[in-house]
Amino acid sequence: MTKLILLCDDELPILRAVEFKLRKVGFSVKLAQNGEVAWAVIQEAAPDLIVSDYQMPILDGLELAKRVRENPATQHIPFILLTGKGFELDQEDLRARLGITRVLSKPFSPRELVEEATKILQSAEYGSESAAEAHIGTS
Amino acid sequence: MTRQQMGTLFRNLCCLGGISALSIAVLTLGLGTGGWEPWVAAAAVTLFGTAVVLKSTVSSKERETTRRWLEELVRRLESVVAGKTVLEPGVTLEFPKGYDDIGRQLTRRIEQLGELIEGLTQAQAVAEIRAQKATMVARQIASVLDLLPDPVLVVNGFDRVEVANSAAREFLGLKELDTDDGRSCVGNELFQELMARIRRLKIRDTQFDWEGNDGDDHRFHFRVLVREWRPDGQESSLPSLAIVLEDTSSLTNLRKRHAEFVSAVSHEMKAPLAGIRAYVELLADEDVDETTRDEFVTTIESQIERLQRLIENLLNLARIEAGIMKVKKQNYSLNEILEDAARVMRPHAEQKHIDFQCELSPLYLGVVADRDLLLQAAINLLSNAIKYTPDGGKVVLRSRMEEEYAAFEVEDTGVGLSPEDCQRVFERFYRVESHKNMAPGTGLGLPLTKHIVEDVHGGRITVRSELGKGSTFVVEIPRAVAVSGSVGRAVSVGS
Repeated sequence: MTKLILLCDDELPILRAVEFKLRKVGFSVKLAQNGEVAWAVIQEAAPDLIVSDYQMPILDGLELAKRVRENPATQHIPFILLTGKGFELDQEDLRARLGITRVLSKPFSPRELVEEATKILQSAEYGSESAAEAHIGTS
Repeated sequence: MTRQQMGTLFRNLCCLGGISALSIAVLTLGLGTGGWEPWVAAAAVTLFGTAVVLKSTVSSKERETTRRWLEELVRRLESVVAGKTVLEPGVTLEFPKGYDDIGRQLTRRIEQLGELIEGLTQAQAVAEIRAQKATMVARQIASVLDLLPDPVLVVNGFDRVEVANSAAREFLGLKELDTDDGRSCVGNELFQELMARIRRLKIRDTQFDWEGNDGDDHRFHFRVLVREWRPDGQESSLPSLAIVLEDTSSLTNLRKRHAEFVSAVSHEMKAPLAGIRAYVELLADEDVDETTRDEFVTTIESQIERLQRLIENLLNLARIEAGIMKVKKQNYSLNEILEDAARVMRPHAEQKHIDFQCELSPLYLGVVADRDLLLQAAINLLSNAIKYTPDGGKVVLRSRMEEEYAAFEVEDTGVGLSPEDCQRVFERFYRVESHKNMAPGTGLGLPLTKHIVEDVHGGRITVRSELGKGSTFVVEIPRAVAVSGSVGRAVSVGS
């Protein structure tokens, strides 16, 4: 089944480039220009992966991640954070506190992003399958 | 001889005549009886009478001398008491017999008294001058202290405030210090917290950082400088404290703003770089058709331009700081410069579905300008308007002829500015708090624009705005007298 990726960035050229690359690999992609729009899209149809910029108007990437983690229906969705900040962010803390799966520093390589996305989605699939097996095993 | 002396002499002569007559009468009566007794009696009467007259004459002279002497003493005393520092030369004093020594002593004492009073009077005058001067100096010091932006306090050994400049009074919320023995600040929380911190210090002559919230809930950052001193210099007395609160909030803010600036600049640079890198990689990796290829190349070009504009802003600001801005002014049409700016910014407005309109004056608006700088100013204003206007909003660029100026304005239907922000948006690195989440920015665009308009072109920039409704930035540049004026006149404008 085609995986759905939500892509959120206030920079249109980045949205366009990453969308182009992800579609080429066969992912289906939804776009949002800020966290608020992204949240609305997520609630409509939960994506398999969220790729979001950090600094955006109205609702930034970390606030979006917080909403995603606080909602039971979306809290399992893996989250890749794109950021121009880098050294100012504590990646361990972000992982522990907001479940940020991966942080990619700008300027990033779309090729690398596709590789990361594929890896995360595969392990998420494997993780959910094994979780399901474990669940069956205990019942 | 005075009339008084003549009177005394006449009286004495009369007495002498009376005595002689009495003696003759005694003698005449005695001769009738015979024998020596009448002669003796007459002689006795004469001698006694003469003695009496003589005595009277002598004592009257002495009394006169004494009286004159006393009068002179009184005169001198009066003169001394009246504060006449230089004694008028009086009559030469003639002392009664036997009174010479005491008379001279008295005179000497009066002279000493005079000198003493003279000294005292001079001392009093000096003291008055000094007191006036001290009052003046105290007033000067108080007004100088009041000029200082930092709060200054003197607190005595009983924790009473003896000196507080206006900054200190304002900070602590005190009115005038009207009592002589200082003002008690028992109920003043800020003062009590300050004194509690000072009491905890091991060394009294020191400094420490103090931050907190004041009565109006404003955050303050102070470096507190404390000096202990004893007003009378006595080791045993209770020491007073001189306290200066050096406001470091501006320094702290500046550092914070600088850090934010570096972060914002790197973000601003990384955004176009990220675009360039992504599209270069796409072109290298993917097999794309020609249309897509053209689209990617155009995007790369626009991102490179964006990066270039940012670097130019940064460089120009650095040049301003270093004072090495090179300005090349010539006659230009303001409308042409504005059209160029609109051409650069139109794609950005379209991207956000912003209704971007140009309402340029049909008149020729000649300005003597550095084209590149004025273009940068116009682009900065348009870029801000587009950045802070939500999707679907409206931005209008207008130009018009004014009496002395060629003016243009950029009006938007964006988020708007508070009155305080209107005052501060032209400060370097200042970023409106509520705008930080709206769009990235360096806080450089407006200060640079202001510099270009006001310092380089002798014009002026103003802003009017309403929160939630939008802002209008108005730029006025002195008009060049391009049509009829000589070149010399034209060049002199704004140069």
